[in-house]
Amino acid sequence: MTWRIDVRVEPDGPAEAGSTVWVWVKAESSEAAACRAIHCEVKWMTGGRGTSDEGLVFKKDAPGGSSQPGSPLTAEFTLAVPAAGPVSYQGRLIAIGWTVRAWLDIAWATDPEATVPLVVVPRKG
Amino acid sequence: MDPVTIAVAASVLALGGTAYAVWASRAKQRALGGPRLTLSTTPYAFGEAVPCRVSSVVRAPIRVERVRFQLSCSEAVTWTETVRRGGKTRRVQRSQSETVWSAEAVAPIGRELRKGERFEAEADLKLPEEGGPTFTAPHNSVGWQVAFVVDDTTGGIARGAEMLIVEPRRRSVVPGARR
Repeated sequence: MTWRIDVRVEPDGPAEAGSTVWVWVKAESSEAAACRAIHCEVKWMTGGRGTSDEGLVFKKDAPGGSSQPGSPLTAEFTLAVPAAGPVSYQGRLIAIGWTVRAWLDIAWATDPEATVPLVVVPRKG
Repeated sequence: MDPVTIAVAASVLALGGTAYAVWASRAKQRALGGPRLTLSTTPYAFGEAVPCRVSSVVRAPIRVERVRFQLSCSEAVTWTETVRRGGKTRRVQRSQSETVWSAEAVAPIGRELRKGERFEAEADLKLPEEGGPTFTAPHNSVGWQVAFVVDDTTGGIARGAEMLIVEPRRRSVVPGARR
């Protein structure tokens, strides 16, 4: 049995610091199966020369359920992107990137997961 | 004169010269009244102008040619390396910083200042339209600062710097708007 997980962020494209984005998770199994919960977390992480720093900005769970081909499980999460950022950044020594990660809690099996990047830009005004 | 005596004499002269230069520099800074840089503590947005102002009350007559202002953005990182030497390993903290953006402005003065006179110099430095906002994490940081140097005919006689906060915001386009 395999799970297919799609993660979609709306609005599509870069998110402004201080804005609200919605994360949609759709999970569908290749055969009838149960999922105990759908988890979602959003974090930023630094890359580059220095030791990596990271910050967990959002972590929430949605109830699971049963899935089978053609009958996916779905969950929606609302994320308030902090006005203080940090924003996505590509410098000379430092890079800052954001990711949205969703995973399923499956009993007696490896939890399948999917990760998509999120680009956070300075707000206008 | 033997070489040792010449070397000692040269060292004494060099030390004396350095000590005199430090004393002369401090004397000039005191004469200028210890100028201070004033910046707004309100966070700035990308694309905004940063008004910089240096001021003091002159304590003794002194000639000032110009004040140089520099707005800059620096990145700083730290990391740990494992070093092996002589069969032993130890962890060594490393750090690196680099100025990734800077802009300069000069306020010309070009005159003799009198004792008791108020010394003032101003300049506006514009932040870039995009870049890294102020960011502080345990091992990675992005910082912004304004530095100034007051010059006489021989070079810098007083200097200073202040940090400013650049938030993740782009300026609203309002023609003629000024902080």
